[in-house]
Amino acid sequence: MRVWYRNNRSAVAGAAFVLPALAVIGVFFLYPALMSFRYSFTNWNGISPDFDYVGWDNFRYVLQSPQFKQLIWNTLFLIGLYVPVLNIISMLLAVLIYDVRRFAGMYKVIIYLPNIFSMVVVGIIWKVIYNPVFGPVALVLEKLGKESWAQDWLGQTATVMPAMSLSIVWYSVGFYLMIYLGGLSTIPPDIYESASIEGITWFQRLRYLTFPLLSHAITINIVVSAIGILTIFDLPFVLTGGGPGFASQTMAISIYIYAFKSMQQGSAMALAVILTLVTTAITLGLLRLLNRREAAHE
Amino acid sequence: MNKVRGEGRLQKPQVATNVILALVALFYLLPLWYALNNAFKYAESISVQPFWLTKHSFTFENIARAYEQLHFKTAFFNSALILALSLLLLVTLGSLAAYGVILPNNRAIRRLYTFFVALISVPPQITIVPLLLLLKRLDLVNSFLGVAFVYAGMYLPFVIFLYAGFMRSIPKEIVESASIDGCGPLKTYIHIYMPLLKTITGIVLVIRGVSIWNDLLVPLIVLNKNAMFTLPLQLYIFSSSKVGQWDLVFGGTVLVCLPITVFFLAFQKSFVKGVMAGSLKG
Repeated sequence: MRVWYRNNRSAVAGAAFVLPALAVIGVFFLYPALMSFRYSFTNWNGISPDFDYVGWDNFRYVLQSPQFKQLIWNTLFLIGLYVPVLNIISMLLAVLIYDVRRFAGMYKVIIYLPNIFSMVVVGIIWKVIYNPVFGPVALVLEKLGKESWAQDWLGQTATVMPAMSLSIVWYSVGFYLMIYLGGLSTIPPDIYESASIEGITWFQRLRYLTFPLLSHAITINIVVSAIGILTIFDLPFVLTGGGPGFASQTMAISIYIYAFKSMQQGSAMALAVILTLVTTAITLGLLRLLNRREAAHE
Repeated sequence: MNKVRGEGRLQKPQVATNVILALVALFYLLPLWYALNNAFKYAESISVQPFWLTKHSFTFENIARAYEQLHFKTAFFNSALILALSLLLLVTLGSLAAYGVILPNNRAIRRLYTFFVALISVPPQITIVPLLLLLKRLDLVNSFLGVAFVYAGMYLPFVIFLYAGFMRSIPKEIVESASIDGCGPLKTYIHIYMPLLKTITGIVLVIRGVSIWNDLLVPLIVLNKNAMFTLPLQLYIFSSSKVGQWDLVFGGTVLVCLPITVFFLAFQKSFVKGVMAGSLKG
């Protein structure tokens, strides 16, 4: 009887403790998220109390809009190029920093530094760096006698995505570097010690020891960076605003523009629903794929 | 281990590694130095001498003018108030909910926890349009509390996940001996768990604090009164209206970076450690 009372009491207490957080998440996250799913099938304009169900019209409109192809292309570009490049760079830097004895702390802090600043700050700085007339890149090229190489990096359809990605990589590497360093620090030192006695090369060590031992950190980073790049808003918004035209529009920017610039709330929510489904699908897909690979290594 | 690394064969790669890393560090410092040194320069000197500062070109005027035009003092206090309210909600509600989850209790709450964790990967963009209507109905538009609730809804799943993970690692014996001493669940939470979880609270404060302090999207959507704007929002508006006036833009940028830089330098060690520990769990 007393045991039953204790268990029951802690269940009641548990429910009471969870309740406030559940209420806040429910009201300010879950409810609006579910409403987006519902409203994406209506012609609701975001303000008026009246609306009609319009079936798949919003989705059809978004999918058939001229910028949707560009949006898909940009998303594929970021997932297919940004995610691997970012992870390779962060991992290599982590391996290098792990190897140096002096200055390791300094390198860590410097590379992490952009992360403490607002993406607004980072966007402004890179916008000036890329400025074709005034920016330092243009100036250096001029000094080298290569004026013709100077481009309006952010103003041209052909260069805007790589230029934008470079600044996002510059910003994000520090964060992923930290996770890889955290992963490296969990590797028992005697593994490396005995390997160095065996006389293996640096590349062999990377390929046969570090990679497999880091597989968990790699999984985390690939999933987190994929979600991160799909939902990133502030930095591209400040840097390009999605332009020129739709050339650098990401899903997150496109949703914002539909909702608050062109006032097409239905389209905004339809695209937000698509983004949520894509993010979930990619997260689950990557997790399955990577878990299988992780298991194969064990 | 250090001994092995220090031995002859590995000495040479050390030099090469340091050269590579120094170049990378330069690639990181140059853009920041570019903004920093130009914030203290007359507009005419910026285009000619973008990378160094001389006595001749030095001025404090950009900073002073940007301070005025950014409404820096107001924006700083707005940002600070939003930060304090949001973190208070996140830490109290988050740790309490995590404690509720780890208490020996029924399956329903465990299921709820799985659901919380799944919410971490839902993009916040899905909420924005209905959220605005909701805030209007609750009279929370142009309200710092409204902004704080939005952040709480967005980040609580992550915070609960973080707390629950670490609470599970606290030995059951400590809790049992407390309950024998007559501590109820709430008392155990306040007197046993929270003091033991100071590090986690620190991680939550740092990781979520930085993202809230620097965020643009939520204030951009929820606030529309100039007097309530936060630092990133003011800077965004300021820099878009001053295109070409780089002296002012850099002045404003450096000014906005100042508080967080001071904070970072003061708590550098725990900051980096916190990010590492937090991201490993997250």
